Amino acid sequence: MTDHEKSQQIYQLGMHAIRGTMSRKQLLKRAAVLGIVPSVVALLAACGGDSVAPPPAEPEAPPADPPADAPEPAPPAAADIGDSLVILETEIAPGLDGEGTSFGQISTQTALAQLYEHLVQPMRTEDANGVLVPEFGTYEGRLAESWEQNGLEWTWKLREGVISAAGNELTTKDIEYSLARIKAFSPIPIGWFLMTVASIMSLDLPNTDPSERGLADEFEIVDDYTFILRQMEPSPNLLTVLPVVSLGIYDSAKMLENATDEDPFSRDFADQVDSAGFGAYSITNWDKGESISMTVNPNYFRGEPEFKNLTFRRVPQAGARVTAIQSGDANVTTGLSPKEFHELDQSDAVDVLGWLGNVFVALGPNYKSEPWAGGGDPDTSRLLRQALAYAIPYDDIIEQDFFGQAIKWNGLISSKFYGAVDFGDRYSYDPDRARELLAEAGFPEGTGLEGPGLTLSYIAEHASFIEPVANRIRTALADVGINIELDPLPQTQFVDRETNLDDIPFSLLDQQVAIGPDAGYQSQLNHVTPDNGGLDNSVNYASAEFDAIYLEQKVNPDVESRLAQMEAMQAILIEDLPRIPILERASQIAVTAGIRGWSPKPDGSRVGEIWTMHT
Amino acid sequence: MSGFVLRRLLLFLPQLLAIAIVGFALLRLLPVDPVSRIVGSFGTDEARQSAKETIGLDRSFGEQLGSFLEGLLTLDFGESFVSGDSVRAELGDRIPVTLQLIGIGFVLALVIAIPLGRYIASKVGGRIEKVTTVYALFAGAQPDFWWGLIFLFVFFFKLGWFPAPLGQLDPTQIAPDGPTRFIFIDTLVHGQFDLFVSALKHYALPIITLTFVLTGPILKIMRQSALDVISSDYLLYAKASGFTPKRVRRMTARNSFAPVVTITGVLLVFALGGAVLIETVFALPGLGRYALSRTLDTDFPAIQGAIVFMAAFGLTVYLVMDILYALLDPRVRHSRD
Repeated sequence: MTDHEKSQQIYQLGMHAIRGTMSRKQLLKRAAVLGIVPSVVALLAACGGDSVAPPPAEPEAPPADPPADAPEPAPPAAADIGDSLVILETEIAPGLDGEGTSFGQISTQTALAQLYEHLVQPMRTEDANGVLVPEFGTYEGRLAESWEQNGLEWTWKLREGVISAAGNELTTKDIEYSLARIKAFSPIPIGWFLMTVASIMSLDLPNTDPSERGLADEFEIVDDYTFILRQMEPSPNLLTVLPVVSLGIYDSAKMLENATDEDPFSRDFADQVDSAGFGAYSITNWDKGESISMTVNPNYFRGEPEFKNLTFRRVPQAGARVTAIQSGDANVTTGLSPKEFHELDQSDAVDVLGWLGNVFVALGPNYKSEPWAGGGDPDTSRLLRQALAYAIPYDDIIEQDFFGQAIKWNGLISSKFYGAVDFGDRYSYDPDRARELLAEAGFPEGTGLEGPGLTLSYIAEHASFIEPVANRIRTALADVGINIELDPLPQTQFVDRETNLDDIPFSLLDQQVAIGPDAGYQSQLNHVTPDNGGLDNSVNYASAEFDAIYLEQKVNPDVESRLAQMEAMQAILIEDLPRIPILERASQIAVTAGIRGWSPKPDGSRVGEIWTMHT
Repeated sequence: MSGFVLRRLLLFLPQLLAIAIVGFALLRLLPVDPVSRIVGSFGTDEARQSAKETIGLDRSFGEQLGSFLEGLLTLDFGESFVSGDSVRAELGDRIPVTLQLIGIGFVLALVIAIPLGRYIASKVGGRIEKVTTVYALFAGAQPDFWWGLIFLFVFFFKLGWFPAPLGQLDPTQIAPDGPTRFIFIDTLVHGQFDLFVSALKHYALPIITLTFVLTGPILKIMRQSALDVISSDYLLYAKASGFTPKRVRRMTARNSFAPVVTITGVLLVFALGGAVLIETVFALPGLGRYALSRTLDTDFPAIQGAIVFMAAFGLTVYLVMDILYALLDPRVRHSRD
């Protein structure tokens, strides 16, 4: 046998081992002939014994039906995790001030969710999969024991005996300090903005002299545990925004210990040094941007959690996070693609928990870009948008690109939010209908369509899971006569143009969340014109009728009539289609098998409150 | 020789300054706005203005450049837009990680490649020569991160010989706080031998990856260079003149080193920036990863600090390379004097 022939045989043997097309015994026999037994043994170990075809098994009898009185199947066995959790994330908090420059980072919000506590939180119910599903619109007291609304005046009673991680008892002084801090920092997001949504503060606040930004009539201390909040107008959003992660309550005593004349609200301390909260955990070590360790707050008012020590570690490479959780070196990971979550879900060592929250995928045809502007004719624009909606292969995207971990989005408000309306199959995949609408708009078979809007932009860093969607849309649109090109943009550029410049002609949106789980709030965020308080109207949608109803519901204290107003708003949206809703995808995390009690939040803190996790 | 070194040293500072200024200017020409990242979706005009003032971007280009150059004198690059921390302190944490990685990787690669290259040059056609030549071509033709992933899959995930790629230490271990930020030194200084061993295990695979990839081209150059020298007329003349075998070997070694110095210097500079891929695969908090993530965050002070360090490192390596080249080759030395 020549060297060449031998190398060919070794190569073929290797391919058999990798593909599992030859039994282990056969492989070793052939390897012995070639004199490479040790190499083949190593290769078999590397490929895993399971990849070698096993001998055919006896056919199994179908399982008998369990007797009627059989016990419920046992929940998945939990690994022996102990009382410590290792959580892998793509980023680790570079700062920890809810009013700091890093607030927008998911990593910061994740850390804040463990360190700070709120007046209220949405009620939650644990489902069969171990997910604590929030019920938006219903609230439980946390630091607040009770509250009572009387017109514009809300009287709050604090829970007594709540002790911070630093050992200080919660009193109304802490609420006063936290609100005063928010007001003093305006116009820095996000506390001030949320307080304006709740009608506690004014949008004009930043225009006032900084020295006048102290608390006034909006807040009043009755005693150590009772205070009054006063609204300027009857906004229904006070309870909606209070659980948002940046509105955690500070331990004023600890904060004041670290204040200086130049920094009276301890900004540097809270952002760069340590936390000062009433939350379940406190920081033990923080290597900014790389890792953060926390230990349980022994005084936490809801008692000790199962997991007493947390280590958040930055592991940017998704493959490394996947292998680490499979090997048991980590217990929780986030930030994987739908495909990676799907593959992890097949592993016995890992459970993937999912919640259909407020992460969506939608198309954003810009009203300031042709052809979506319709040449300035709103009817043409509407017909073109509706044609787009009928041309999207929803089921293919959900099943093939998101592995079933998504649902078709039948509206333009996150379906789990308070006041959201499901419009069913108002739009479904119907290319013939899309062609009809195109013809009705004056572009039969797409003839005559031109303009910058025929370039679809998306976030380049999300290409692993969003690019297949973009390609599928391109193919589907071409099928009805709309020929587009794809233009991935760097994330910073995309976000800047999408949130501030509003000049992307045609975008594929995949990362937005509305942190206030309310249809009115999300409408303000995405669809209201800037003149009427809109914030992120990236497609430049303008509907006087829509805005008028929005402004009415915003100050409507009556639950029933406000719900009707929000429904009317959404009815306008679903016809105008400022955005083309495609799907709502599950927020997912992977955990060591047996971990339950994941409490997803509508904000960016994907890990949620770890206090609730258990085995 | 001293004149040559002096001239190179005098060029060093203007070159560094020019790179720093060009980097500073190019950053401001990018079509991105750091303020957008800070104020996010809720940013009103007032919020944007306030954020601009906070990070100093409300000032004119000239004022910003003046502040930057003033800070450069004391290596003060300002505060990060992302973390609010001193960029100098952040670089001080990250640079040792990368230097350890590429430093040890290069030393190992040279220790393997130089003697092996010389050996196989003297055994042309032998089995070892064939195997190492194939390896040199194979290793150098694949990207380092790909090898890193393969090694991870085999040696961590399948065989369990090395720990999970979660940084310098196990997730629950905390690195000692100084004094050098080089973890191998600091753990020994503090007598934390368990952490030293843990660091060794965590660095093993990334260093093996880097060594595996670097050894290929160095080995190839060393072999070729030694072959050229062995078959040269001057060596034949030396042998014919009756030089001792030891002196002939010394001549061979010295004359084959010059190309190796060149390729090592180029690879070293390249590795500083290229380490980002290995650092990412193995979650090592090094300079490359820092520079990449801060670039994506449009963190101007951090990017400027990283550019200045990388430029200084590259210029230093090229300076040392030139000096070594001149020492090894008298023709270079005399022509430049």
